[in-house]
Amino acid sequence: MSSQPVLSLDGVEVHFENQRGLMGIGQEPETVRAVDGVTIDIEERDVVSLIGESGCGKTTLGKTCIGLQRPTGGTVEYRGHDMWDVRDGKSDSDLEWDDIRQSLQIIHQDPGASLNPNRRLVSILSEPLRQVSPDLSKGEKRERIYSLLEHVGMNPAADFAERYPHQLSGGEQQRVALCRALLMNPDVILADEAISALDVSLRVEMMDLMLDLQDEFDTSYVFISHDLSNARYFTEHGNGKIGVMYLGQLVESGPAEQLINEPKHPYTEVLRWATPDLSLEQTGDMPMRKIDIPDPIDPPSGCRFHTRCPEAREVCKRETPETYQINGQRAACFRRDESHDYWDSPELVD
Amino acid sequence: MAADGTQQQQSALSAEDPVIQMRNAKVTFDDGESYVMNDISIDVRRNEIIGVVGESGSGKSMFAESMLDAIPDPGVLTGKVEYLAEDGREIDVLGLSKEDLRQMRWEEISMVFQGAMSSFNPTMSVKGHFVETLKAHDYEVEPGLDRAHELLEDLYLEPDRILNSYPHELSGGMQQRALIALSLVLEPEVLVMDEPTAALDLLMQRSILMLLEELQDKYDLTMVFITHDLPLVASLADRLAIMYAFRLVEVGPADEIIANAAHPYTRALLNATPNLDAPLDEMRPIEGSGPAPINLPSGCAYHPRCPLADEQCRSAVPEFQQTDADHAAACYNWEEATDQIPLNYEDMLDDTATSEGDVA
Repeated sequence: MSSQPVLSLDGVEVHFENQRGLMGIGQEPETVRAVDGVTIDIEERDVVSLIGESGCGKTTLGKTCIGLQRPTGGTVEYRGHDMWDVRDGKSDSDLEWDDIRQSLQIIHQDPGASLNPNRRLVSILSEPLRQVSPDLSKGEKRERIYSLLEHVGMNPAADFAERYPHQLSGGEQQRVALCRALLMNPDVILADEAISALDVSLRVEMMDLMLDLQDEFDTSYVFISHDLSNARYFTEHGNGKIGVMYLGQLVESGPAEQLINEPKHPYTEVLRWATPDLSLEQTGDMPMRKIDIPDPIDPPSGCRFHTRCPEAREVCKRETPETYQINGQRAACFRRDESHDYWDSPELVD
Repeated sequence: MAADGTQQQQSALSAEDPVIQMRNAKVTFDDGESYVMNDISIDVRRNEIIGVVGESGSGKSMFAESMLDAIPDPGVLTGKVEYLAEDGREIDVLGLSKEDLRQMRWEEISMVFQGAMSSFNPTMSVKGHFVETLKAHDYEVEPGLDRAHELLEDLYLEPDRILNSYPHELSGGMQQRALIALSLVLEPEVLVMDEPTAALDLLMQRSILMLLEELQDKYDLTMVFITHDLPLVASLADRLAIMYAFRLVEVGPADEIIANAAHPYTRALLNATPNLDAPLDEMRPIEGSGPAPINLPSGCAYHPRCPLADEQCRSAVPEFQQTDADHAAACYNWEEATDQIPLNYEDMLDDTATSEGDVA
């Protein structure tokens, strides 16, 4: 059992049907292909970071991982069992849907909006304890809440516990959201842009805290970010991998440092270019032909990145690249295959 | 060292050809009990891009709003803010009548805020916004729309499609670019931007910065770029001004601040910033948190978090000290800061970027 991943996604697709307005009655509904054919495993105490532009499907994929979004194709397995079969009562395992959902938690980008403004922290944090360990006495619950608040640096805990969410700073609110998720003893926490709203100087601290608590609570993280340098910090410290998404597809994945230093997909290079660094070197021209991401309702044919890719050739328009394995990295680009027709194909001209 | 901070300005803070001069600018919301922007004196130089960097609640938005005397009520701005137009007019911004102020905004100094959607009227097409802006300032509409076309093209947008769209039909990045085009349609000299890209993903932020650089070049603009993200603006700005606890703490050329930051806060901020080059083990959060406007620490407001703090720092607010020809920091112990607080990416720095190359 130990080598089995906690979550295993195979060929996952999430397509949303977008009904046309009144004028469109009788027409086929538009399909937004938010996630298209993603295969990825999340191990015990793993860190998987998903990065990409707004609208690339990283949040939808994250929600699919933790059972908040039902895939329209492919399978999501929790410890070897298809979680949606469990949900529908079709599974032969003795897993309960509620137990699966309980072990998969989420923290959001805006912690202020995810905490009930009318309840004190002690009451917000008692809720998960009531679910997980209903036998605890009131005093024991308080004790656990206080010790966790202290652990996340909110001292004095007894004082903080009596506060309302609006009496906390953004960083403190996010720590409470993290505590609340952890009190459920989850296997996986989806952190959806969880540090993006924090001040730059607080981000490292929050990431350190999340990693520190990972050791203690034995959880895995799915960390969603649009910022490669945050993903690098979090993933490298957590010994995990980064997955780069583009228009619903995973175009590259691999260990953080390797993926950043030797990107194998031109889109990863674009993200590298977009990440500010302090090295004072001239970053050079934009390695991309167009600024705006294409509409996911009608994604480009072939390799979806071909409309913006600086290396695109005719073949990229026609054929979809398979995923190539290169030293622990995976990349979906013809350029990784030295004998591919790509190299004889004429360059794309706009 | 300037004793009163008014007349004898140090060279990093003053300029030969300023476009905006701020002197002892202060903002209070409770009649002088506490300040949310305190004693800021700086010249914005003509045709420069200056990045103003500070954390949430450091007063950086007040700085932006001060330039247009646009502090929300009941805030009170005191001190001096002067706009020096290219044609030689000297305008005392705080002394303007309401009507003159309305005209100066957009025509001379325009401003772009974070979150374009809240700046647009959702029931009006983008073209409607351009027309309304032109009419409100008595500009001719046709030539104005031609300029709009050109500006939108400069921003890698399809002019006709954008003009005929409603704001909600555009992506966040397109909205923000359309707003930048709108802010430039009356050909202002200065563009003040308050976190103009903060709600966008990194790739769009970076693309917009690249476009801003091109616009600055093409239209000879002066840009004031307010942000919490130091590495982001460092690649764009000529100079950086760092704010902490409602005051300026350091001003200097961007590459010199990156390579040779003099203020302990700036150095800590640089070390706390995740980036792709620094060794991972050496990134450190800044201990403690930024102070609130009431009960500010005495002396240098950074002293409770500063490893170099001594008696002097606790008792009196440090004046700006010239650390290099064009670089100044408000710190008594800046000379020790370089040794005591090493920058975690120091090994990565380009040799050419050290101070000698940049002294103007």
